[in-house]
Amino acid sequence: MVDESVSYRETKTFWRWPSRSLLPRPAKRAAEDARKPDSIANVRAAAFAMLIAFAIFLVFESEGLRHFTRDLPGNHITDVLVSAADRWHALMQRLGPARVQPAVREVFDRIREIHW
Amino acid sequence: MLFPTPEFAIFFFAVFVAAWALRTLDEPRKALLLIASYFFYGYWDWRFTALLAVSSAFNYVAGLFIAGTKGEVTRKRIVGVAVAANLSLLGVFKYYNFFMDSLTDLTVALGIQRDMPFLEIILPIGISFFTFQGISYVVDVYRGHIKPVRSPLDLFLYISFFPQLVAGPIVRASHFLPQLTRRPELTRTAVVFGFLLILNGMFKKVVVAHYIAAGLVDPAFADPTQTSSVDLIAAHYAYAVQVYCDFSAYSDIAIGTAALLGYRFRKNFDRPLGATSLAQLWQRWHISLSTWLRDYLYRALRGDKRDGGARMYRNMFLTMLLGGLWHGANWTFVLWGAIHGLGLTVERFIKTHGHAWRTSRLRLSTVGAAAVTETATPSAAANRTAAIVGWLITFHLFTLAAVFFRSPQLDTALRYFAAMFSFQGGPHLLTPFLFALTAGAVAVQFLPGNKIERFAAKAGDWPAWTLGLMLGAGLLLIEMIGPQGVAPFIYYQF
Repeated sequence: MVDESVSYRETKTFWRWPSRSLLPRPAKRAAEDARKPDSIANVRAAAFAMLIAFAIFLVFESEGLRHFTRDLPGNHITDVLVSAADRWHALMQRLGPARVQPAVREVFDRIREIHW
Repeated sequence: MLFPTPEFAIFFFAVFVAAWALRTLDEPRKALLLIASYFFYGYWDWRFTALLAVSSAFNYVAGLFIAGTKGEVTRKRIVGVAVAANLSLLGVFKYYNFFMDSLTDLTVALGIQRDMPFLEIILPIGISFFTFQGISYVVDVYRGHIKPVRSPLDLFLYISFFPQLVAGPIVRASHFLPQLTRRPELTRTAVVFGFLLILNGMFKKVVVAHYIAAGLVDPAFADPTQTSSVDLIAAHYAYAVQVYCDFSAYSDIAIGTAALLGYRFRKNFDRPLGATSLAQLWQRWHISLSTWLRDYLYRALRGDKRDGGARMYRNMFLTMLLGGLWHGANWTFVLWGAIHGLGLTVERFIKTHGHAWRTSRLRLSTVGAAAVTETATPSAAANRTAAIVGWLITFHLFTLAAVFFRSPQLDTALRYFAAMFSFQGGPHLLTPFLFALTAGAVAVQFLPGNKIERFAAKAGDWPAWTLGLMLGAGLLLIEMIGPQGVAPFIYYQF
């Protein structure tokens, strides 16, 4: 007879079991889930955060904006966008933010090119 | 439309604002998401949207027929026809020329060469993923796991929902359709979680996967005979990391964008490169596909019986073999699937028989309880050693098999192995930077899981401007150090 008091179950350590937090939560947490979030306020916050991210991009990646407008199909509207992007990039270069990207890139490329 | 592009950023922002503006109007919101999904898909080639619509309509009608039929035999026939039709669609677009090619080789070998009717077929992006979702829907309706959808809008949206349409995760109808019947909610934690997943995915794709591919993997596989052994050894590890970073990046961005729209997808990767057994690896790698194969292929092969012994091993092997073939019409994928199938069956055999052997030892040594406890409970050191050995075997089997997965022809893979094991030459392609990227990507697999979820829960009360700075600065840094233009995700071709 095998001694039933002995536990044959493997230890639950991080390398043995996958985490499963995205699966449906266990029932005991239903009460917590039942509280309705203020979705509209959170949507506003998320939209505002995305607009800030876009603004950061416009300021520091004005060169990328130029490339993007040049890749658009050619018409009157995109012509206006291209010239606006050019003017914007010139302004950002004058003020300084457009010079950050090449500086960061240079440091990164130097690290990348180190050999043994 | 690729995820890491300005076009997608603008598209997603517009959809995000419009979808939440229509939050209280269920049908218009779903219609908007459907139109957005078809626009997203049609951005590559609008003609493929017709294929997507036909596939969705067919599965919608099949679901209604199955649910409306009483006789078991007729129901079985309908589901059989539905599954066969879905697979035929996949077969024509994905495997037609592969079978013709193989048939030509066979006729040449037999000395009866014939001209085969080859066709110029363009593989529609994501066809495997939406076909699998269609199959899972009709089979789940047949098995009674879900009720058929009455609104065609729901089913069309389930199959075409843009975050997961092109490269998964393969979302189950039983998980997604109930979400469509509820009004979506957005928590602050979900917002932070979505942003973090998008950042994580962008970093893995644009920085890690790109530089590893461009600097090491692509040149090594282009001509293995002209590459040193050290570079080839490094490149075969690096390729496993590249595939992981590329594919899990897509899943991360898909899950993150869906979370921002108020929908929850299950995790698709869970630190797979840290798995200590093959079985565990397949519980952690492309989870939505491996569970799909288990539920719809392995279960279909097994039938109603709970099998064991040779039948179980055969089914396990066949499941992995067909899983390999799913990745593409090439013998390299078949061989890759066969290696994993064989590995899994051997591992299962050792585990089953090892357990029986340990149990029989216990029976013999039941002299005193203390003695039994001593024999039965492995020490922490023994557990750790077993985990390390298991990881080493699993990791190397995975990376070596990946050489077949990456090689365009069997011949390339064989030349790769021959050059790799010649042990000649030093590192030329491998730089400290590429070494750090590869080793770092493997090392993070051993960190505790759910880091992002835990951080999102903590950062849930951050003000919106802080979140904006985090998202903007993170994306900006990735853009600054990333390449000009981004290659498509590897899994687009599957």
